[in-house]
Amino acid sequence: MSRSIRVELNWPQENTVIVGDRHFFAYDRSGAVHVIASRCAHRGGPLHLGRIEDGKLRCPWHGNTFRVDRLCARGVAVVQRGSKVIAYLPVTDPDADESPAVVHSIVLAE
Amino acid sequence: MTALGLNHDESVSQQITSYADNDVYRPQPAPYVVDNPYRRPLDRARLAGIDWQRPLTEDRFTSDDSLLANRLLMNIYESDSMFLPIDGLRGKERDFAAFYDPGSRVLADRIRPTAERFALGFLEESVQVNGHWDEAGTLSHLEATIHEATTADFPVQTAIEQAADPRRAAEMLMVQMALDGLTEATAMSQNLGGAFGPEQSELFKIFIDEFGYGVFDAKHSSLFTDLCRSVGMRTTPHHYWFFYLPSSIAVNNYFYRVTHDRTGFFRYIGAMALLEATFAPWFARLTTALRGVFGDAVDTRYCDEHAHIDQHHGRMAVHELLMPLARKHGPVATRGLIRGVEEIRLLSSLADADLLAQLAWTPTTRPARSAADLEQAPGAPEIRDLGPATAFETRVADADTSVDVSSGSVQLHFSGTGDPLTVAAGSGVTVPKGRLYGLAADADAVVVVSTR
Repeated sequence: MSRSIRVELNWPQENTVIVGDRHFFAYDRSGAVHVIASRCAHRGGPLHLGRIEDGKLRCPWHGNTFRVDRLCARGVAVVQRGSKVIAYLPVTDPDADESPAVVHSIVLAE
Repeated sequence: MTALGLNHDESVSQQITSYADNDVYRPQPAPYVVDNPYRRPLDRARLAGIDWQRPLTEDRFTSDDSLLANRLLMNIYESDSMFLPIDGLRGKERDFAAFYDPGSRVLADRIRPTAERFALGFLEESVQVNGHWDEAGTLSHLEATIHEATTADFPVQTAIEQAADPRRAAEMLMVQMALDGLTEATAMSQNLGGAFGPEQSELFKIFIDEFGYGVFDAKHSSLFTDLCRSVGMRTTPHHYWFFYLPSSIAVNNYFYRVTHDRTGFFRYIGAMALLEATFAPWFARLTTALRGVFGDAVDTRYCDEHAHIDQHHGRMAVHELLMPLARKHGPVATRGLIRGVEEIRLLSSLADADLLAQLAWTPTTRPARSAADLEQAPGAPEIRDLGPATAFETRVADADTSVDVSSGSVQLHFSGTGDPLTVAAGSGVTVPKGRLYGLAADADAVVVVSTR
């Protein structure tokens, strides 16, 4: 069975998790916080810098759009109690040092 | 219409007060319910004052409305289960019939969704479970949560040991535990039927431990009865009805809610698994506290049994029940399981905070407030006439409250056992916001109740 990386965010002061070269951003959908991989399925663009219009997130690189409800459904496992958000990120390389960093960064996908 | 008659045009609020009109829910002057499992007083007037369309929020969880709604819900749920008086039914046949009256049961079914949404609906807002839960994430979360719970402090046990009156404090905890302890595993029994594969048998293994393998003396509720009896407490269900804190009833109601509604099954398993996985050290610590308070006379086999068997139940519930259900039934099941874990964590922490505040409160008398003070109170003071025939009732102070005795003498009840505080004319007492209290008088008395 694969492992998971547990991280705790103090939302909304902390809105981003960085693990190696992977980037996840937190997104508030009607009060429910989702943690979404910020990697466009097309060419790996930074989805957290995309804008949301009409329920779709537009990748800032090539303009591909993704339904937000589907991005949320595919987000990582999250438990939220008030401002405390616990997320479980998938491990991609069991041998790599994947210490997560929880930070605040610019997220345009709001 | 008659008290238990059915009228489809009534509002839910009217139906709730109709439900409370049942003879067995009528008020009584005594502060304890003696040897009658059907008598569960509901304050019809206060129930009628609740705005059922404005559900409780997490910050209103310890409130008078919460107390009333959770008492109502408990009666609704428990009339689904069998209760017979320990000394036999003779003399209580009418109460038996009234408690299980078909009309009352229909009313109960009709008002239950509103009462559930009111009392426990805030969990939907306070707990969010989002995203895609795979097996690794599910197990990681369970292990982290169980580790956190089993390595935490035990503030309730410590509070008992450090209380001004440790015996009263320990017994107040046991009063709260009696809600479940005297009917243990009743909610669990509701999930034994049907057909849901090998996990059904795993649940049954836990259940037969709870029921002492069919040996009455080994049944967990029998062990709890022995614990209570060993320290001189009463052992009939709901003897201490008036002294359950709203949060304690809510935790008990939660398990009925998620078993009564079959779609709550996964939440039930999640909540049950977490408790089973974390009870062992909690009960071991309770044994130490009870020994310190009561000495060798206390029968701690109930705690000792949990300290032992729940090590097994925790493993069984997580690895033989919860995880297989998650693997087999997919994301909806997994989110339900995790939601159950989180909901019972939240409810338990709220219940601990409520009980700790009650245990920390030792009321003392002071000179009664002056007329000038009362004039400056935020709301209009309420003048209550009390006497030996007055219905006894406990309530939760929704704000810091002043009880001042104008004439006669009044007993302030603030715990399930121990002497009440006597407050004589010219004296008063302050009830902090959130605390449960009741007033009684052996002879005519007048009190002024005001917010501060």
